[in-house]
Amino acid sequence: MRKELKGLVIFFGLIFLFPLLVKSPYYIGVLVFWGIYSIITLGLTILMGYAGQISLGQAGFFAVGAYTSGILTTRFGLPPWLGILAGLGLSLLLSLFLALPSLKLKGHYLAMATLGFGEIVHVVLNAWVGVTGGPSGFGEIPALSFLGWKLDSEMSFFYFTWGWVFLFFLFSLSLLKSPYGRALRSLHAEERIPLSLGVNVYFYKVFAFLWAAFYASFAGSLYAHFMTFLSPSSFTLILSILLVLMIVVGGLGNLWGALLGAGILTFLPEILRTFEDFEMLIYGTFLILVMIFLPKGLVSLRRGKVATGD
Amino acid sequence: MLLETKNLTRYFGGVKAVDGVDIEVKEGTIKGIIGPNGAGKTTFFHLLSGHLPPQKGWIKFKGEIINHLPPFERARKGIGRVFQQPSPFENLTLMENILISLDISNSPSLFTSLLRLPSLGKSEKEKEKQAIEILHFLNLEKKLHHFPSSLTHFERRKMEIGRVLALNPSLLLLDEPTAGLSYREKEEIKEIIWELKEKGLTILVVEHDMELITDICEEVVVLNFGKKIAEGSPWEIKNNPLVKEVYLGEEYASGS
Ligand SMILES: Nc1ncnc2c1ncn2[C@@H]1O[C@H](COP(=O)(O)OP(=O)(O)OP(=O)(O)O)[C@@H](O)[C@H]1O
Ligand SMILES: [Mg+2]
Repeated sequence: MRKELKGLVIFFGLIFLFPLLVKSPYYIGVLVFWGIYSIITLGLTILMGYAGQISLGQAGFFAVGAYTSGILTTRFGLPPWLGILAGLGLSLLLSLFLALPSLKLKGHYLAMATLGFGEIVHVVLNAWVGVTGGPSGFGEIPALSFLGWKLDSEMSFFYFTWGWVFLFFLFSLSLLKSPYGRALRSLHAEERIPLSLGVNVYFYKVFAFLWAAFYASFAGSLYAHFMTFLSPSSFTLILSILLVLMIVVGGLGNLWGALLGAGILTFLPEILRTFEDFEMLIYGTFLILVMIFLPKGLVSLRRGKVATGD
Repeated sequence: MLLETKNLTRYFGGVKAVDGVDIEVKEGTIKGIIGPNGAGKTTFFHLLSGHLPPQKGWIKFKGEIINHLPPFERARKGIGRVFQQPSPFENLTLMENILISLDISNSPSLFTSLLRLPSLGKSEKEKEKQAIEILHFLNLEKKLHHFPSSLTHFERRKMEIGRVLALNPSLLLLDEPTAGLSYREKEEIKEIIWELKEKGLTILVVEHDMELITDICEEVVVLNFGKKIAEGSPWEIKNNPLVKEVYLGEEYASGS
């Protein structure tokens, strides 16, 4: 834990200095997205990297968080923190419904079930026009305020978001460094082994799903209040796949990998924009090269320095 | 009786892997299970540990029918099983492999864990101490922070025994604990089993090594094609004509 804390202080110190050095609201905005995606991947890596499950429906929980707090604050005038809590509650409930039948599924079948969940959410966002605004979405979502401080600039939202990334990182780290984390990591082996040692494998699988859904939903609520506008096109299967890619590129089963992967795949499209026609080609080549030469992700470049729970 | 089975039966399609087996295991004893390859010994263990449901019959442990219990609850009740094939947690260190089972009986709440309250550190320390004791007993304390991939086959075998001991079981199921080990390593396993018996553990052991069985077991059960064909002291079993025929038949078949 000590070692990780040192890394954390350095990393977050640099992040928090960023807006003071680079004053461009555009880049600060990109970093906000990095923060939001990081919250999702810090949860998802518990599910995929440690518990050895898969989810191709994480955009669904992101959407539930975003729309629940968006709708409740905009249409019903509820305070944002209530909207966020409602989103978290709904996401936990839905992930429970998704996780229980998924206990019997493995590999491809689990991937398909979670993918189906994401698609159902997407369909509902499009079709339930009266509530979600349908394909064209809805706007004018109120900004958040925090301790009387209105978060309506890129800069203020940046600090708010990264403050949460820091906390969520600490929570995931504490989880992994506890008996719960050990049990989650034991799920990587064939099920018969943890079962024979008294580990309630079913509980931990559901737990990992809930954990990942909680993070994604919270990130969704942040997203809603940052964008102040929501439409279904931001919550597609492509996003679910992108989130999985972030974890894999960064390094499966490593919290730093989740953070790093989210950063790289958030920044890469922004950087590649200057290459216009070649953008996708370079992006694809990058992914393939990482998978071939660094199958354990970018964190394997500095093994030893980044051992987080394994 | 600590363990009792009645008419325990498991088919795989047409194969009668375990066919109406009755056994009784008295507290504090070591019982051996022998039989040719494919006789149903491992399947019998699967039924006891709950990794497979039986089609017929019942299992009584500590006087209670446990047929309906999932494996993790049987483990918590005191049935500790070591598998025939190596089954380490590759992504956990030797120490953590042992801690996994210590966590079962001594784990702070999620709240305590996430906020890292002082009681978390206290229980972790306690468990680490217990884990080191177990590893010391198994002569493994030097490799505390090694991953299973850097251990020898023998060390991994012992680690798996240690992991199960950390559950503090009353019944130990060992499936060929000395397979693939050298003579000296076998002797060490034998010592371990003796010491465990002295501590009051009840042990059910599957083995092909007749010498080991003779040395450690009070009683032996012989399975063939899923059926119990003989039961008695090692001496009686060695001189049982039916058992001789089964084993001679096998030797004859594999020798030709
Ligand atoms: N999952 C399964 N599906 C189908 N048949 C099985 C399965 N497991 C075991 N069998 C069959 O059941 C019989 C008993 O197998 P089991 O593994 O219990 O034997 P064993 O006595 O442990 O043998 P060995 O000494 O080789 O370990 C064999 O004929 C085997 O092929
Ligand atoms: Mg066997």
